[in-house]
Amino acid sequence: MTRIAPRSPTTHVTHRRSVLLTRVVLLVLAIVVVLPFVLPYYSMLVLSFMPRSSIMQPVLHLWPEPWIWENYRRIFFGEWVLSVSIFRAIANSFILAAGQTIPMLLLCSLLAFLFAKWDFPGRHLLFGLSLATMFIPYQATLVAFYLLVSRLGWLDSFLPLWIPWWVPGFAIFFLRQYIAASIPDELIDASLIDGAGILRQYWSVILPLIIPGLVVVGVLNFVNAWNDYIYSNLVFSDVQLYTSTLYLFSFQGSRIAVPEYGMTTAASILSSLPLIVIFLIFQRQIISGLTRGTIR
Amino acid sequence: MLARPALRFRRASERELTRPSRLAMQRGLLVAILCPFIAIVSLFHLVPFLWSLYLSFHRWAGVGVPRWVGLENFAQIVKDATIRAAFLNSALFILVLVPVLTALSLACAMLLNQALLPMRGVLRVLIFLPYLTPAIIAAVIFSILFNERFGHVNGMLQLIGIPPIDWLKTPTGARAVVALTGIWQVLGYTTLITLGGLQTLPQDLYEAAAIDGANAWQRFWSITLPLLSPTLAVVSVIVLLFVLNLFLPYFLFPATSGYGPERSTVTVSVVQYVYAFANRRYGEAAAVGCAVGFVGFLLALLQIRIWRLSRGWMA
Repeated sequence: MTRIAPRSPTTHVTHRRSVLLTRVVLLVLAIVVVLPFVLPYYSMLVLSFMPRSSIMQPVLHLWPEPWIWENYRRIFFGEWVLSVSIFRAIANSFILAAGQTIPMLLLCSLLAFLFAKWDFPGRHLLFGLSLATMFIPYQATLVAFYLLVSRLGWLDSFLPLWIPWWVPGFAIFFLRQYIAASIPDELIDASLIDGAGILRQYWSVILPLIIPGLVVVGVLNFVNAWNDYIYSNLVFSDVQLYTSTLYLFSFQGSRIAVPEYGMTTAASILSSLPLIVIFLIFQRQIISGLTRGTIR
Repeated sequence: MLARPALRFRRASERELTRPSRLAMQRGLLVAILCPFIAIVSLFHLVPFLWSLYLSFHRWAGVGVPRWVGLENFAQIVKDATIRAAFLNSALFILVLVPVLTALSLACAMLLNQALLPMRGVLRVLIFLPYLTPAIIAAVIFSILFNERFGHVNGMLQLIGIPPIDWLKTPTGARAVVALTGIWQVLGYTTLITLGGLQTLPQDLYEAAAIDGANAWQRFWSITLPLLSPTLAVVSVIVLLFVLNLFLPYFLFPATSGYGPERSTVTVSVVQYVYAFANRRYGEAAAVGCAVGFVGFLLALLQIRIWRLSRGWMA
């Protein structure tokens, strides 16, 4: 808590000085708090340019010494037991996350629009059903999910990582609240008088107005899909389909005597880069979406 | 008696939708939208849930007919040493991480909420970044940083004269690494949610309290904490779910499938995964999953109850 000095002409200078001091103290404190969250990335970056033998020297590595490109070269060209390039894995992660997120946004916002603004038989029942799926934790369905997917013959395909995630209860609930709170009924009245049907209203009235909400739900879902390991590992056994998390685990999980620290950190840097870029593009919307308390 | 129209805008009359052909078209559209929704929810949520429930009462190794064993699989939670260790470890992580993360989120959020703090936007982005990082990458970097021989953590401890600690090979050290990595991953997210709660608190209350001569500590205990308790309840439930889903040890200790030294880091998520997909003990794995789901649901309700009660005491 900051102590605010009384404002009077005589204490004006001391007041300004104490404000400055408070700012400096707060900044130092905040940097000390945030540093542990950032330093591991720096460490990862440094190690990714170093040969294994130097990484394993018991000294603090503040700068790559010696600096080599070997780790990056080997994962670019797949010169590793998997003989698959890291770019292939990143592309697979992208296909997985985009194919899950984009249809999800379209379908959930349409359903949310129906639940928020339209009346039809079974509306409450169906909305309740989508809420109920939120309360089934993944552990309670995981075993049978795998059995189901293998019976459907969907192993080694993206379908089981896309379709089941197209109607998450969380997204429908969030977007329903968003539409109910931000779109006045008069707007839909007006478009009804203009003769617009449901799809037309959705496409030209609702969708443009809920883009901030879609960004928050979309990016968080994209992150979760990109970072998935459990489901992807159940579905993919073909290394050509490996996503970046499976690719990384092939380093960490390999039973060879000494792990390839340099290549692992290089692959970690490259495979988290797309997410960081996407987050930085939308950071304003996401942080304000989270702090405005719209995501709970 | 007229049939109720299948679809109408909730507030307005259905003047534009009463023309029969148009209404029929919209009804067709409604069915076309709702059918995929119902199909996906039933096939990929309800069916696997019921199937898992069914399996949890049967013994089955993937081939042949599942054999009914009653509650035997659930009894394994107590009898099987690994499953028991998993439940105890998860309970320990819940007991430690829920209060610690809730308190840390509150502290970080209050710091990042200070009006006088420069570069608040940048700091918020930086603290949130680890939440974007998958558990596998967190495990890669933390297992290097905590390496007992060349890790930076021991390196820095040595600078202040503390002898190297065998983090990854002792039960306590391994649990500490799992807990610290988990905090690193999720604190940014819970901090931002707490920050959201802080920003909704009415400022005039603080001004009134300051005029009445309440110091910062009193303002915290009698304004911030009681008014923020709904947000903190949400944060504690988020942390609870995070810990129940904690799969991180599987990546930190790949050589032992996440069990860690002396089964010290095996969690409910890890044991279910290993039992189902490495050992093909589907029945026990399904029982673990159903038990975790049930217990998690009860704990979440309990936590919300506790926060409500404590709010009553504080007010």
